Amino acid sequence: MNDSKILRIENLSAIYLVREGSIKAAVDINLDMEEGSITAIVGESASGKSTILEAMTRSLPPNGRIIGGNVYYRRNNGDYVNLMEIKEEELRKLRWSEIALVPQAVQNALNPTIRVFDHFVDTVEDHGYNWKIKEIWDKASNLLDMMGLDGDRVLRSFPHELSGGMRQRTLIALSLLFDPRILILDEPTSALDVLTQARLIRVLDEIHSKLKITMIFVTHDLPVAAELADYMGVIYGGNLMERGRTEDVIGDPKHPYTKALVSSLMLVVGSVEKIKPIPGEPPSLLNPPKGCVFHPRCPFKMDRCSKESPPLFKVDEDHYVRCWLYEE
Amino acid sequence: MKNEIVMSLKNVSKVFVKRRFFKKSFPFYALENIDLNVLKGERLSIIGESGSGKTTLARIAAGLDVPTEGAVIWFGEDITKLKSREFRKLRPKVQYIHQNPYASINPSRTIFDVLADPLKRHEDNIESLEERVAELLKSVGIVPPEFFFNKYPRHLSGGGLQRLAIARALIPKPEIILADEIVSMIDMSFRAAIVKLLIELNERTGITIVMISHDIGVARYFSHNGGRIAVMLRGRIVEIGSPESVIGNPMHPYTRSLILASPVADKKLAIMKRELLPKYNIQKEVWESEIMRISGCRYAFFCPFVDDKCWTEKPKLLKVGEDSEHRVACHKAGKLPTWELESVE
Amino acid sequence: MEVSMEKGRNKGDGRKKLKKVYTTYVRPVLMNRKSLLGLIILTGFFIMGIFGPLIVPLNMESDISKRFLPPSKEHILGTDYFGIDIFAQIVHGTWSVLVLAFLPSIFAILMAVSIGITAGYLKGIFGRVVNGIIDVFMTVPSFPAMLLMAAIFKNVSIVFAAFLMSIWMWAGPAKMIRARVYSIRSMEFVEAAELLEMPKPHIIFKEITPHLMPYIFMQFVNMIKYSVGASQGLMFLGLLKFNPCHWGAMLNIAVTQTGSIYLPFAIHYPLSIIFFIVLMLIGCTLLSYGVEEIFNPKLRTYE
Repeated sequence: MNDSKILRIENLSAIYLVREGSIKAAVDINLDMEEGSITAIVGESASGKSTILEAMTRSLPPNGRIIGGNVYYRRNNGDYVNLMEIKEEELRKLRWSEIALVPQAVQNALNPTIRVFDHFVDTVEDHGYNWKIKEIWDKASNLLDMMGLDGDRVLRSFPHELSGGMRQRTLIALSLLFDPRILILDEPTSALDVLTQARLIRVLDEIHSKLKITMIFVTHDLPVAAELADYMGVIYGGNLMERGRTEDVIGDPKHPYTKALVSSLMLVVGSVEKIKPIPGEPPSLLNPPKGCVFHPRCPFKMDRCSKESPPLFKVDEDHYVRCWLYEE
Repeated sequence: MKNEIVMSLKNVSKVFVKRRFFKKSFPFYALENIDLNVLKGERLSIIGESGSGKTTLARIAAGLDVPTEGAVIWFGEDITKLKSREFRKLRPKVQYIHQNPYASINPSRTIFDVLADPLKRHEDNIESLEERVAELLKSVGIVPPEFFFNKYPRHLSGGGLQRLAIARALIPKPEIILADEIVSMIDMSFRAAIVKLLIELNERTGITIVMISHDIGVARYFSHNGGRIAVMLRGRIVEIGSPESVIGNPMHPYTRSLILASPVADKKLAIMKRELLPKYNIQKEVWESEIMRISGCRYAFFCPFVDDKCWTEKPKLLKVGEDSEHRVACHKAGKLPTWELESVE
Repeated sequence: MEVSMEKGRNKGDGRKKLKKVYTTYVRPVLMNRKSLLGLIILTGFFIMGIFGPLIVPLNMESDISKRFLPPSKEHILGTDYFGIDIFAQIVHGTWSVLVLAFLPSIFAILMAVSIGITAGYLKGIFGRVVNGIIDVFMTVPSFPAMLLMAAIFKNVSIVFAAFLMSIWMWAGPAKMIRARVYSIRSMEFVEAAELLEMPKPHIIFKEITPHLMPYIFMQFVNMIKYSVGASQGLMFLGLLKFNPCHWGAMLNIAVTQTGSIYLPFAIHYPLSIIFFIVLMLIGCTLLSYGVEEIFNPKLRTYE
């Protein structure tokens, strides 16, 4: 086991059981995270990206099943634990104190009937810590200040008095309460205006450099991922299509899907003439296409692509692609 | 140069009054004295963040809501003054597409019916309904059309549904279409295709399309090559012009902040933009009521270039230099530093 | 799906329409196991109501020596207080039950739907007036009103009696339907239909009503439950033509007149009656699952 990797996801597969059958939401996901890095998992809606987070933290909904794979987490003392195998009790201790997850859709995450400060107090109590009120206040206030908020004022407010962006940042502060080693964020920028989003990205960057914390976030917004992340994993139809350092994946995308995605972005810079829309419809996770899940929309598709699903091929140092074009 | 004006809003305001006991009630202006002309066959984008009033503007322009004051003029007629019978004659000519296709298309009707119902209403002498529906589905890229006849909207993706919504909006043979945030709820890899569909529609048939979006990239793509972009802030238009002017040489600090805040896929560029942002935008939390209370520029709280005049006097939309098409509402117009991104590809 | 591209009407059209009616309205009910079961149960009752009396003879002469006999080969469900076969009575009462349960409910639901939708969709003063009418009917207590009506109109036909009952049953559901329509009215697909200038009847029947159907059907089932009890009450008070085989009447006799619930060896008497009443209600409820799928295609699993 490579000692600098704080998290290793190996062959993780998860499905959701529904009346019509099973939704293959995550298929054979392989992803490593270096300690202190920011990794982005990029995928569209229903690509399976949130499923990976849920599977990793074992917080799948009742109809979700993990059907294979391991997630190795390296603790402070260097030992590796397999998050898929440890007991529920142990996992609960790890969750929030070492691995914190900030959920999506901030609207409902905060209790509207209690003040922000009470949220912090409740969290401390729920985890069995015995901190004094003043300690909690100071720590919470500091964290909120780090987020660019007026800590004391926010702590006294009710959630509905805060704007969407402020609530998002409050949730992040809440998740940092116990100094976790890994911070996982599910679509942190989705519901935000562009200026608020820019502010949040800046805040995330700052806490990353200040706290030296490992961050993993899931987003459908490729440019946001490109801006923040050191490493990227591109998910399509439940499969990991490409992964590597951000500059490699964005600067020189190898997978046809990544290439197509980058060229279809409507950005505020860049040549407008070069924008190329991608044809086709999203794949069904209930009945995925045979072979490579992207082949129906792929401009480079070969005969083999509709029959066999390719494995991950290494194309460069720390750059892997799931595409038959790169079979050496 | 397309000169003919097909739709215009003259001094349109939409006010909500919040009444409070024991306190002076203050009016909330969703739209404030908007003057906007829409030219025939143009691709106009209206961009703004949430709270800018862009959806209110679109709905009033589409005749779905009434303004508190002002005139909404379609093809020369003020629709706010028309009786309902006369209004109904003009109604088919202006269509509106909603943001959420899952809500704007009835889930209990088949895809065939979604198009067949309005077809029966608007077209006489249809020889074969199936042929017409198939034709429409093909024109928006839903193929093979017959496969979808007896399917329901839930069998289509978000992008597919919006295509269906576009096909449906075309049935009354409108001259103007208002598309309200139609790609916001669709995944990234399908957005460009929908926007391109509308561009092609405009180029092929000359239909006037107004695209409302919070995403400048979408506006830039949609309006490039002859279109215009209007930037809205809290109920007012603060800048308007061609994409080359508004994005290539923005004159309003708010427009510059929006451009700087938009994510790009290049990390170095992103960092550079992020460093520049505070130059045009002061980050602070301000209550809506405070912003609305001042009589001057709505950007005053956040503007690094603000002076006394900005707080008290509302800036007018005025020409920028020689270009009569590029207008900006800022007392400091022309006095901002040179646009740093001018040289960026 | 093969589509006919020939111009003009052709012979295939009629058959195609029939097929469409089948796939839209009939198939969902048949494909859902629960509703299929419900349909079978209710069909069974109808058959029992129509053909039962022809097959099972009813001897209403009392023979006290045969009182409260337990179920046996001769008397499938045993005998009652008077020595009369219970099963025969139930069979002969089925038709009466069905008519007095379904007919008022059908009248009432038709009234509730038409008035409720109108109240919900009409804007301005018309809507408020209709709403007021609903409120008036809602405040009148239904059973006393039925008693009054029945006392005034003595000995009327069963159809008219059903109508009299339904007058006091439609208001509550109408109000709930109105509320539902009110909320649907502001939904975006209704606005989209208005943008396209679709005529009001189209919007009401084709766009809004499908969303109400499951709701309407549930109200219908509730009405049936109410009707069984109400008709039994009216019958017992002599205001409807008394039919001793009507299950409600039977139950009333069993419980109040013969004390059979206090006697352990007689318990089969009320139990068998209750069983059939409950079975009919279960049949209706099960059927409603399939009905839901007619109008909410999202729930269908076979497409």
